[in-house]
Amino acid sequence: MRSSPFLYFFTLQFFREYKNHLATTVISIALIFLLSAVLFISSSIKYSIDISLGAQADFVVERVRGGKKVDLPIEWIDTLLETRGVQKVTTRVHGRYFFEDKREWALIVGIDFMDEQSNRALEKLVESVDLEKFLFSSNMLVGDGVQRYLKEHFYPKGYNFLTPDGKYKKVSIFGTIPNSLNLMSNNMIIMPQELAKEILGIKKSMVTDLTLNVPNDNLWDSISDKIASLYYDIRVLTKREMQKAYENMYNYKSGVFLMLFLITMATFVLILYQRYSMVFSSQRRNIGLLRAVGWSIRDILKLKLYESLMVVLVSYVIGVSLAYLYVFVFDSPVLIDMFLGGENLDHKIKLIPVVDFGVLSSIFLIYTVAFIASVLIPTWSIAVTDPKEAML
Amino acid sequence: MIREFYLLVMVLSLFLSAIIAHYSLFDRLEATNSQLELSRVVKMPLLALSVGYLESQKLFDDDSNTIYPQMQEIDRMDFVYEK
Amino acid sequence: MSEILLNNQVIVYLVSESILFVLMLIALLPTIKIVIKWKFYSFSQEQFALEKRAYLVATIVDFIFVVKFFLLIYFVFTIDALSILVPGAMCAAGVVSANDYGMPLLFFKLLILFVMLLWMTLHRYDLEAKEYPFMRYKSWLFIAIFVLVVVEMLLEIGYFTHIDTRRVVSCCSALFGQLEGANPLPFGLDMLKMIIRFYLLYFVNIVALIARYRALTMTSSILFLIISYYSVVYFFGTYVYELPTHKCPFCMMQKEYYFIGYLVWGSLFGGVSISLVWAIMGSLFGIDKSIYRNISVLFISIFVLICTSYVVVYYFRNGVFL
Repeated sequence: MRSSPFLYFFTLQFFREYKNHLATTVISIALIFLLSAVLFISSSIKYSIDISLGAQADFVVERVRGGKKVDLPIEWIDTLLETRGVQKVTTRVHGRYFFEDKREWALIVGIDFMDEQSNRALEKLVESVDLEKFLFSSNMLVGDGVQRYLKEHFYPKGYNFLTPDGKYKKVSIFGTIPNSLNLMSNNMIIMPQELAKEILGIKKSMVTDLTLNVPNDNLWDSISDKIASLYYDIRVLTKREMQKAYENMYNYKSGVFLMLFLITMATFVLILYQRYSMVFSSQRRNIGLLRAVGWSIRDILKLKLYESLMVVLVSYVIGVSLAYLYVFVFDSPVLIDMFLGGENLDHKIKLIPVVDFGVLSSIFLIYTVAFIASVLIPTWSIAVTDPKEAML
Repeated sequence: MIREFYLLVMVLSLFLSAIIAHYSLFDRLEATNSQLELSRVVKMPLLALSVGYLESQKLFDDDSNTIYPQMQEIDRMDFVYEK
Repeated sequence: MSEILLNNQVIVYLVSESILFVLMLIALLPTIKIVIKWKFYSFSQEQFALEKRAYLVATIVDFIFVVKFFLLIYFVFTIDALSILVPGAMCAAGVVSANDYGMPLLFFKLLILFVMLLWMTLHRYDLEAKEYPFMRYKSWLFIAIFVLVVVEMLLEIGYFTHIDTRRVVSCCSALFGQLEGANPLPFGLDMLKMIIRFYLLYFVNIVALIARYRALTMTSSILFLIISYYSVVYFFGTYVYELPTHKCPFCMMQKEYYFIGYLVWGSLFGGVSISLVWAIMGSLFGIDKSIYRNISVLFISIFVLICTSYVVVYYFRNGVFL
């Protein structure tokens, strides 16, 4: 740097007059921190959704009556399998169970002991699980949030579920799902399908919904139409549709936030414009001196724009880093509820760190462009000051 | 040279290296794999999401029923909201 | 409400473009004044004020050029990200062709960058000369840029508000690949002839630049641009993807191909536009700086080198051509 007197001078000047930039830097850091925290959270959740959607079946078949999802009979499986191209129809049993206070809930998911693939995955997931024992008695695997909830309410070993028939069903806790998976499993209870049906009040011959695979994805559209015409109250969801819906939901949430942020940004731009006009006019003598010493207008412009760029860069790096620490190291205490909703059991969710180019460049662009654009005119108006005028 | 400059650069690079360290030391494979396994078990996407807000569900999709175009539209977002 | 407009990147993109547009508007007024009232040898108050205002215009254009350059990359990146929302699209190619505004928009973006480059070159020489000899040309050029930016802005709004997320678009292999025997190449060339022309034109272009043949540079650069586009899409691209049927100008900008597309298209556009700027500057204003020719030669060579190396590496790895 010694080789460039300009940069040397710039650095000296910048730190000598750091008080002029302190306030804007601090506000900038706060703004960038907030924006990037929200974008980090939403992109990380999107990433996780992509993972879990990747493991989904291609179609979900539901029965809808009066706009509400209702249980469907198991015989549908055979009808569906008759459709050409359809493979591997599996049943799903799930539903919300509300605890005594009727406010807190857990999601009960029943798993089919006939399903080889899910059994193998379960074995991998919870190492200590002895499948035989788990599937053939009243046992459940609970998520971290559920476990803590039950413990707080003095059910450390098991829980007496109240079925819709008014009977109590005692189910013991067989194990817990690792808490690194809290994003998915915080509210979750996994149990054998028959047990789940009993607790959720689903008839033996019914299931909540079905999933099916169509290996040839050229056939997706036509098969979707074919299945949809099998019954009057059927609804078919494709994987792509779900992907889109989730993408939209997160775009929507962070988009609303971004809109609000833009309003803040507009105010900040006005403040910046005012502030820099003021700061610069107090430096008129300085600028006049530099001009008198032989600096050209371009040099002054360069000096002042470098100053703004320095402020932007420093606050960008600090703001983004703080946001990263906040989201991925300290697990984003408050903001994450904006994305997950407030109805969940108390949770400690670890997000997978995702920092993609799109998020980083979005933050940088929106901030830098607005910042520099707002200081351009004050900068210019000070740079063209006549040296003679300035000395007066 | 300029002491403050070094100080600033050091602080910034400290921040950056902390992040890069955390990012690269994170066991991504393990985390994604276990999420994958869990979603294989339950055959459903993310479940800790309860979205209780009254977001307009018709905001995004106004697909009408392909078989019965005259039929009232069915909300296609509610699987996201876990009714 | 269109879900496209809720995408964060689209919001950021549109807001940045609007800020730039406002800056352009601010710069337009002084420029019009300069066009009408510029008299360098006058000592009036007005003339001095105009000279000062000229600095504002210059600063704004410099700033806009830098931002527009990044915004172009960001734009491509954004429409690539949108491909998940548009049914049928696998990469940016499908999203760009989702409506009729897409392709013209992309073209206008490149054109605006080129004209701004011209403006900035002119401005540099204007500052070096003592009397601001190009001030009026510069101002007219700025007004032209402004008109282009207005059109671009309109196209942009049209583009982003008219992406139909329910209509299925074609993916790149349908757009560029399956042509049912029709020859997609220009001037009725076949593949071998085109590749020969590609290297020939590269050679001619380099020679013309080194030997300072302006007219030749201009024609060969434009021809080279056209031939390069088709060569990359239909020949070199297949080596990037290592798949003879995959023909797409956009997919190579994705992560799977290490973002090489940005480098390929960037070096091509950079090299050709700089050589064109050099040729136009020389023939219109008699300005000749060798740095422009050197940069241009460098960029074009990088472009050809990247393209060629993909083919060569593929051949050495597999022992056959595609």
